[in-house]
Amino acid sequence: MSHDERDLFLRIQRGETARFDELVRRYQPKFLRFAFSKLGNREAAVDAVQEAFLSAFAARDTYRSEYAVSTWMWTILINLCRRHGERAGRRQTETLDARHEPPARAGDTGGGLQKLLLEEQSEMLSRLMTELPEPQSDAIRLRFFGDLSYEEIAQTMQSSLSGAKKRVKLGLLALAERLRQHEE
Amino acid sequence: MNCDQAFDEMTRADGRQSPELMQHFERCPRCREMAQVLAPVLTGLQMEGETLAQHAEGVPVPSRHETPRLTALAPDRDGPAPVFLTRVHQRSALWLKVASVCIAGIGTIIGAMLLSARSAPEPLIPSSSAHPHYTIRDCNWVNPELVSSGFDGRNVTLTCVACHLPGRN
Repeated sequence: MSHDERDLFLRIQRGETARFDELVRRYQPKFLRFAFSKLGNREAAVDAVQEAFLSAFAARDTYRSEYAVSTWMWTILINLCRRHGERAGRRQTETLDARHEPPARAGDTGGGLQKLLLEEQSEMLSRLMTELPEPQSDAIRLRFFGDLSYEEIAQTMQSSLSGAKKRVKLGLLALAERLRQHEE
Repeated sequence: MNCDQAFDEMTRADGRQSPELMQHFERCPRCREMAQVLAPVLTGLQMEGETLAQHAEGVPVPSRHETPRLTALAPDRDGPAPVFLTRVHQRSALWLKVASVCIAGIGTIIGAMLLSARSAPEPLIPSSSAHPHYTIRDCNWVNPELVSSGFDGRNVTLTCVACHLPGRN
């Protein structure tokens, strides 16, 4: 995957710019999941992701092939999300609320109590996540919404491998504790 | 599988039910306990991931046969490469901006003062020994026929110096 992406990017650098859309198709779903979670606002997330792709495309000549494309792309997105968050004045408790209800999936027939409870829990979790230190919440988002390996998280966040794991572990334990306190 | 690998597996999508992980739990009470503590969070994150994926589904992704939106937009943005600065660099960049604005402001003020000093009309040109009653009207730039009316070169120069050099006596 990594070699394949590196080759793809080198071809983009050599002038096959239309191939950049292939990267967009690969990264957009993960990027959107991460940005939705981090910014808590659909429009801001879509803007940040779009800007990340445009920035990566504009800066394509600065990419150096000794680094993984994914690390480079994710670093751009995280920096832009941070900037968007600062610009908008991050609202700690805002989640993807009723104004941005996701489209109903085909086959959804109302769910059940269990589903409602799980949904409530996941909403609570996304709120609690905004209370974590940013390195921990970002590491969790990269792992769970970006599907990144711990090696990739470490490279993207410029930490050691054990540091990346520690961030995820501490973040998860803090979330578990807060969730437990909330349920009591 | 060691405990480190077990944690990787526990936090991997679809990894929580893997047979290797279950085997590890059977002989490692610490990891088993950790999995129990984290279970609500991991389930919640999985749900949250699905919700976020549904949000992402609504956003169009350029298909192979569509006109790619990105390449259409890119030429407008194809300027100098953006630099992703670290926080320290961002702070020093801000100071540089502030300093350059201050310097530009001071430069503008000094320039304006110099211009106003130069363009302020002088009431009288200092008298020379040859022409003691020379006024600004007699400047050979303003009144070029003076040169042809027997005005010697030295005095022409002196009128220029008198008019155009600040700080003269």
